[in-house]
Amino acid sequence: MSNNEEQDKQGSEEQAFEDTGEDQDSSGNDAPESAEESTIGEEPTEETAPIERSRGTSGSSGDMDSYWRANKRLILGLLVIWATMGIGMSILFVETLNKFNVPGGNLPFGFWMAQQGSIYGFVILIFFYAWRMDKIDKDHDVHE
Amino acid sequence: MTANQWTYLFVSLTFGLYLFIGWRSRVKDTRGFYVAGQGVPAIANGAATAADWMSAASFISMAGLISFLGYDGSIYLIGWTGGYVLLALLLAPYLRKFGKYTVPDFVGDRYYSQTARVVAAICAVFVSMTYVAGQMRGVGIVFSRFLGVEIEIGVGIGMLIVAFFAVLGGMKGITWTQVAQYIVLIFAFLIPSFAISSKLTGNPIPQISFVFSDIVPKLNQISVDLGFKEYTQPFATKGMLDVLCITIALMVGTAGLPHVIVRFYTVPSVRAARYSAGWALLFIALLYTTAPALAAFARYNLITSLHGKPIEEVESLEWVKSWKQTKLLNVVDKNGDGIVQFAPGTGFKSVDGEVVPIKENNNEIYFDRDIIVLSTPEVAGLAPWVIALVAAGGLAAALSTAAGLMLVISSSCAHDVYYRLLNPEATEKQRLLVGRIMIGVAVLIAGYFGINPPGFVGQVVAFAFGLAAASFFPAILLGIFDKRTNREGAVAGMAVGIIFTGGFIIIDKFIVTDHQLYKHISSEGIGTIGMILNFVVTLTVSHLTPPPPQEVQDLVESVRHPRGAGEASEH
Repeated sequence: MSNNEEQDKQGSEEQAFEDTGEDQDSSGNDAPESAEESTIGEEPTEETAPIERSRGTSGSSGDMDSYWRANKRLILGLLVIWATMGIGMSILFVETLNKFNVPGGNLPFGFWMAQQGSIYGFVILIFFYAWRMDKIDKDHDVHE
Repeated sequence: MTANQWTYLFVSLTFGLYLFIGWRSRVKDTRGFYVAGQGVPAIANGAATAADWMSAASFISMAGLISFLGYDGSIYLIGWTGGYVLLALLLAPYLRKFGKYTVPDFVGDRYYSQTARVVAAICAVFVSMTYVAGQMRGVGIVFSRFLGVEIEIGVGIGMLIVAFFAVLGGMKGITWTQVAQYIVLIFAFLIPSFAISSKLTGNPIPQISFVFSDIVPKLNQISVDLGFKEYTQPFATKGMLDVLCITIALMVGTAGLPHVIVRFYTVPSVRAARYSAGWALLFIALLYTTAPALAAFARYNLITSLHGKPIEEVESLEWVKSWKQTKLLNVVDKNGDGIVQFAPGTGFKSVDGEVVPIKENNNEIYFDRDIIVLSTPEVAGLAPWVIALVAAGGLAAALSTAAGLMLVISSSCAHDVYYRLLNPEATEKQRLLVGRIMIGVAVLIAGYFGINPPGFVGQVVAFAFGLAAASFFPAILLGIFDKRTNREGAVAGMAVGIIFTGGFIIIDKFIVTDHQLYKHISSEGIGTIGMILNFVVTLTVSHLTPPPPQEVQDLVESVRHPRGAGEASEH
């Protein structure tokens, strides 16, 4: 597989994110109200916390479904990138990518992906997921 | 001060610090003992997870392994970091919402089955045991190599330290000591790496000089000249399918290892669990992106300082003298031409602990893979205190991992088997006492294996990852993402995964002597196939049998949503 095709793959993932974005916007819950609650939710404990919140005070099961769908779509998109970097570029197509050096550097690109590049990517993926989920949680009013 | 005195000083100071933290974090209830009261901030949990995860092997042996394997060493780099993405996206947030104390807790509750609970507890103990023996051994080796203390005494001291903070503080004590241990080990790894990078390339940041200096192209050239394959050449020692399977097994195994998963039970919220995984991988990446640079630099430096040099000159080097004594390095002028030559193939063999040259092969340099990290400070001509720092770092890496594993062994026995199965009426006090006793017992067993290592320790590490990949990962993943997966499916899937993977490894390692049971996939990678079988069996059986009861489906529904994680632990 060529470099271009790799990029195409990533292109389609970006699309997946945009889908999630739209999904949240359309589900449109009111954020301000939930912002107040978050200060309570962040406290780690305890017996004093109201029990009924454990089921979530939030909306209908339809809302829950759309939350879960948005989450799954985000996960799927990120896992495709994860596999493209960690498996595709680092192992399956490493020999092709080794024909190019890292731009400006002296290392074969595939080798660099396998030894350093993927690791940087993995760190970014996790923080990106955590950051996006903050928004998805709020939009669906299931945040803590 | 000599390196030896510095080492005594650093080791005493760091051990004193661990004891102090252990005393400050003593706990009074099981929630504190098993999950640190679920009050650990995300970033601290990230550091603790990183220390928990990076063992003596990551610290001492991994860079050396990569140095020998070149590209093929990437299996460890991608495998042991990629798993955190799976953990962060697929497991950690939901298990934190579930909010109980152990991995078998989730398996037992989600699959409404005491059998599943016990199978999971046995797997957790087994996986952790195979791991812990190596850690205690690592403690002993660092003591003997740097301080000349007997291995037995070194292991004994390590046991006392771990026992102190683990018995008193449980998970809380372990967590805060791990944070301190992370700081010690990362400085110990980075300082010598910066120094060797600076010495060879003029740029102190190994992540940058690895890419932009000319060391790797030069190393490739030297390797080819000496008859090796290029350092960056993929699949020089393993086929592509094997590299693929090993990498996936290590990734999935990492995500399924109980001592890693349980760290995410200790944070205050689902949101914190997500960020905490990011911090953990960032902290791990600091070491894991340095290691490949160190591996290439150290290999280049070793070859260029030894190969083609007169034997007298080589033998008069200080670091060659001192490492020869440890038997990790040997240089012999086999053909008597007065010049040292480095060549492919096995030039030496071990006979009764001595490294003896093999006449038929013309390689005249022997170096053990552990020497890559351990000798860097001396080879780079660093101050004696840096050598001491490396010793303290190796001990921190080994002790932090050992402590995390012991907690899993203790909680599996005391919580999952004793409390959930044998004596559900046990009071809080009894449960805490049993927890403390079990952790004490685990320390003793680990110490025993550290002093009398079973000959197969190195070989059974494949078990830990293979079994975690083939048993826990599919059961937990489907438990969250597929409501239809039921008890029958999960138990059948785990059984098939464990029997297939365990059976393959046992036959490949112990019965078929040349490890050629199936030549395209080795024991290290077979967990990937075991995992796939587990998924197939679980899904098939689940759909042929009745769906799980309503309350279990409600449980699945509730772990999917973050709200209420604070109360979920009340049970």
